[in-house]
Amino acid sequence: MERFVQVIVAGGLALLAGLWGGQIADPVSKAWLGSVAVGGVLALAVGINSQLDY
Amino acid sequence: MLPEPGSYWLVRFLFQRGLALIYLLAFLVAATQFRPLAGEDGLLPTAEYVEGTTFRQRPSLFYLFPSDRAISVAAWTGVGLSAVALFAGPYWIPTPYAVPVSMLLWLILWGLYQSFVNAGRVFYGYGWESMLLETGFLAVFLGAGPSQPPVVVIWLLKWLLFRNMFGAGLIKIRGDDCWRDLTCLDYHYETQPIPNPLSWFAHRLPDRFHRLETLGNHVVELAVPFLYFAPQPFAAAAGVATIGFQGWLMLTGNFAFLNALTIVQSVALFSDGVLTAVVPITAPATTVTPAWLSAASILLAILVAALSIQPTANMLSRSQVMNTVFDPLKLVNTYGAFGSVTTDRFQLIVEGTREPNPTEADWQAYEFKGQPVRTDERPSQWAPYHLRLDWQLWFAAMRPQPGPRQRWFTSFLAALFESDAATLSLLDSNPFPDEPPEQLRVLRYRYRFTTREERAETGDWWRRERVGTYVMPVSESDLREGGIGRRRQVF
Repeated sequence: MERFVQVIVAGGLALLAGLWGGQIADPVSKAWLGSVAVGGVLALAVGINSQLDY
Repeated sequence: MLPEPGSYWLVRFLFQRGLALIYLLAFLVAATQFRPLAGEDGLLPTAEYVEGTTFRQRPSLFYLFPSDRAISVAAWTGVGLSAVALFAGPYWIPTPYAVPVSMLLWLILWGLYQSFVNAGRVFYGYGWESMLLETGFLAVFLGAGPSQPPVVVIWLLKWLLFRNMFGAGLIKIRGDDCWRDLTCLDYHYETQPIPNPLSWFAHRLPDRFHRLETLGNHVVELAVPFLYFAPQPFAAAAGVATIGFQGWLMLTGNFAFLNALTIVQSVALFSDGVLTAVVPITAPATTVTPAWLSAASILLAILVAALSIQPTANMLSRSQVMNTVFDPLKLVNTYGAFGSVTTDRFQLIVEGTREPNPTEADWQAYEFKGQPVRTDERPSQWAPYHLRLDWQLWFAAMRPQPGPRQRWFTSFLAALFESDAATLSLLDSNPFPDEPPEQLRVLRYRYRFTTREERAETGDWWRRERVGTYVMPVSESDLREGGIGRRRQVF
């Protein structure tokens, strides 16, 4: 598996973990899980952008 | 907060109606096109399929009953049963029988369509055929009547949609520089298999728009699919993005029922709570999923998980193969096409003449339903209907001469010499309605969309230049004496 695929899959899973965790977590943990989800979105962006050449 | 996030009765109802409509179209296509393409006297005859494979490898009713009558009965039975499914037949019968009757109905549809796909060979070799089968098999376990569908099947539909979209995203970004430098859509609308009435306009949109939509393609296919598994309303938002993306593809091209099927799969991304919040519909009072259906759906999930190993490995692999099946029943497949986009559009123009020594003016062209021939004719809308011959003509035109996957082409020419009515029904026009031609030839052209100025001046949609001869002028006897006669001898 190429590096960019690893980054995209890891980002996607982090995004899901953050969103699902946020459904059941207490308010303090929600902030932390929100940052996990944001980190996932960033990883998705980095993974896709790493393949672009424009 | 959206109400009832865990209820899927409306989702199932909507999904089943959409899938039934696609099955209806697919069986209508089989009823009208299968016999001339792959029937007893088809371009790829049924007998060749029977001799060349085993039932276990490619199971089909037509392996056991290789006749045009069986093909016709199966196709029209499929049309009839699809109509029953479309009008929610199982929902009209008493509750205890609704789920078993629904399962039987969807199972028969799946079995019938499996028969066409396996016997149809190259004419049914598209990713959306196995995708329809995989979707149709999951539909068997959704149930009907007042009971809730098994939630696990909704999640299996999400998994299918994820492989559909993520596989397409990966094969693109791996496959062609133009996907990476964001220029693929500069060419796609012009060179796609069958352009539609809006393709010219999409092609003429500014380059900056094409860059942006190519980037959007990557986001929708590589990032958004993860949200399919997210809680609501994120999953529904991903559904809206996916449906919007597929809607744009439907507006600007003819991709048979691929986009419509993906939209139907996307229904699984919603919940009844989301649907009732945005559209004025409500689900009736529902009951719990029957225990035996829940148990069956868990067994189904275990089967799908086991069969997903190879497709997932392929999808994540550096050497990803497009649209591949890994089991004879096509239960769990890998998807992804258009990894590369051609920058030139080639067309095959089939011409005939009744003159023994023709001049250029004596040749008359056959016209196709979807592939452009005349330069002044606006491309037509056909999707979600599938023009199977036209799709194969697009593939054939990529090569300067017929290749191994164009074995049907000589049979096609022989059928034109015979003025075979079934084969001619696949075409838009026959320039020889009274007597068949004495000679045929096939020319290869490069087509491009006219510029705004050319279109304003002439009204034409296309410009073309001849780039070669695909088949030299031949008579019917030449064709047969050349060792490539119709049907059985062609192979």
